[in-house]
Amino acid sequence: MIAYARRSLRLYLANRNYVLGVPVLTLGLMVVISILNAVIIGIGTGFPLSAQVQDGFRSNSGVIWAIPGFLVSVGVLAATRNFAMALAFGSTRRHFWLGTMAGFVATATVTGAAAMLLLGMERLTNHWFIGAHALDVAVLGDGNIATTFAVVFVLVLLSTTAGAMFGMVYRAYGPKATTFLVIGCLLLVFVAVAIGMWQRDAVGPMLAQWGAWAGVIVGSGLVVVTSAGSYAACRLATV
Amino acid sequence: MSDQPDQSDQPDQPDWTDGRPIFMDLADRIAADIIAGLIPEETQVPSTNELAAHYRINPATAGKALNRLVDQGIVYKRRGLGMFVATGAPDALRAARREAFADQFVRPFVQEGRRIGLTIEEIVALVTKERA
Amino acid sequence: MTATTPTSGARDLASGHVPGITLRHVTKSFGATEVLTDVCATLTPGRIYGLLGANGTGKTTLLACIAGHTFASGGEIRIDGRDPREHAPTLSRLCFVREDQAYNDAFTVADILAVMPAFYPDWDIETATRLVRRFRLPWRTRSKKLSRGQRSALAIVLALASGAAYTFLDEPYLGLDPTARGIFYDELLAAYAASHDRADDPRPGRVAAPAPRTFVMSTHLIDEAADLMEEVLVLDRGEIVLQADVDDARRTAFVARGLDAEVKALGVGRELLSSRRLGGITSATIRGELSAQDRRRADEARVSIEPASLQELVAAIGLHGGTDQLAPHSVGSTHGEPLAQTHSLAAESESDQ
Repeated sequence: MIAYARRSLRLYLANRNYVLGVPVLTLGLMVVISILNAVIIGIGTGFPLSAQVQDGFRSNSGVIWAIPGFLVSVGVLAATRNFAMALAFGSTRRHFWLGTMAGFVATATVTGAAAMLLLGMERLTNHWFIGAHALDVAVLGDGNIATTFAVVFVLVLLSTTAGAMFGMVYRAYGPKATTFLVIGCLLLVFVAVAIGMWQRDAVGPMLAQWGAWAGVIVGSGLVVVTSAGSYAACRLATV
Repeated sequence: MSDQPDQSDQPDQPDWTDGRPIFMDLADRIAADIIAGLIPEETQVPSTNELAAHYRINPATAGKALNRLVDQGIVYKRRGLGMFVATGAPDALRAARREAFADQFVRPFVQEGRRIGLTIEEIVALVTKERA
Repeated sequence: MTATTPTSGARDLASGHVPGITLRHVTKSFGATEVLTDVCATLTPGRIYGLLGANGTGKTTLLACIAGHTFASGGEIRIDGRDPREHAPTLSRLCFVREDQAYNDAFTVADILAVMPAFYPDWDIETATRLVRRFRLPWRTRSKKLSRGQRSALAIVLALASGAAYTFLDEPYLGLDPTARGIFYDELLAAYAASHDRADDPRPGRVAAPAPRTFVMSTHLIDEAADLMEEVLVLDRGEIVLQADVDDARRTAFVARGLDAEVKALGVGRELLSSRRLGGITSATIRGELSAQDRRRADEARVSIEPASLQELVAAIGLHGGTDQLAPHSVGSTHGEPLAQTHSLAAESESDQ
């Protein structure tokens, strides 16, 4: 089982710059942009940034927005292009799925590790010498190394598996079904956010208590759903 | 005939277009090389793979050509070594060709002569002239 | 005779199983469109097959069903006696790079080639390197930037170097110039011969020699590659209408050319595949064999008989309704001047001595 799945993992990793390098680079760029942002603010208020400004900076959620775009496309391309290649080279669908999932885990692990490394550097340099917060932020657990890794890991995995699910549904059911699925997923997210807002008196304290781990738990649940979805579609996908 | 498949892009391709099965043409071609002394008696004939690569044909077709020559006793198999030209093969081939000469050449030649209005005497005269 | 010898590799497969590819009543529909209606065929391992048919007859679809790229709607597909669907040990011995193969856009030629040994334990790096050089394939170019010819060349490199027991070549020479096609023919024969040599020479201590490789080449450009094939399968309207040795296939039809009435007389009771007229002269591709007597009669009636080329035969089958008998009145009317045949008028006059 493992030997056959490893082939698709190798295929996923055929261009490491693309599946490992670019996500790490994206994180790095996000840090650079946060620093530049801090420089601009600092030109007005003076360096290092005041405690008050830095507090505002802690709600920087650049990571959450920077990562998914590219990684969803990685997942989509893996499910469409790599799938076509793996089948051409004699893979079964389940081994392809397993190997590609392992690839997603590899991307998530490397990106999570990079986030930990950058967080370490951020803290060692006293927030890049000027009080800029890119990774020492609330959504990543306010500087907690483990939480930072977990959030980034789950976010990468959710992005790639969601992309893979869309790609696989495309391969299995065609463009119309894929469009409906994407719209459906966006609606679900909207509804979830709306309910959260509506019930914010109930949800708010819960979030405060769990902090970033709430995101990890919810994200992990969604990863299970997208993975199962991509597997089910994969079994019916055709080239 | 026996040289290695060349690296150029034009194989030594005989004209297969007369519609006979390729293996018969190939057998004839090998036979012609044997008659011409290009592959002497008791020397090795190119293998099926060599023939296939050289003429860009399926090895099974090349095999059929060799088998045809084996059936005719022109070529024989040495176990583990390959195919060799039988002793006396050139003479046997020449004799067979002499037998076929009337059918293959003389009859169509005479027919064509008649079609264009030559008499037998005129045809014979033309043949005699060729002797010079 | 290497090509037809059954080898130990084939015998050592699970007992009671027929080696090769067996297709029984395979059907495939896309929605309401039935592409394969009833495909039956048996492919013995260790041969080069030509899968022939007009464009759009379902050649790629059939190969895709066998390789499990898509799912047959019905029937039975067996590879070495096994249902290949999701069966890793069987599928891993297959290589089927499609004519319109999708590659990951991010991958360069070098990236793709570097992954191949993971999929194929018998990956032949020497062959791959030599072929990339001979085809002048650019190593550092991303797959999406490759030209049509380069994509074909890449598919050939992957297929030949894979060492896969069952290798499907899908319209392998689209966009290739004559030089590159020549390279392809040479290298296909070399890969084929090498696999037979390995199969015929089981090394001591080796339990089973590898089975010689089976190649299935789908193409609608036939004559150039016909000599490479041992057997041809002609697909038409969703069925295999002819499976035969190449020479036998050629013998199944002939082209008769002469005065209209004489050609009609010769064709009575035989299946007319196609016909064209030029003034009072009719040239008809007719299925069936001719006795010596028929030939003499044809000669007397000044009807010339030429064997049909494989290309003509397949083209004629493609244009043909299926079961027409040549009625004395039908020549030149039912199948007269079909579109796809205009080019062969020139070829026809050439063959007219």
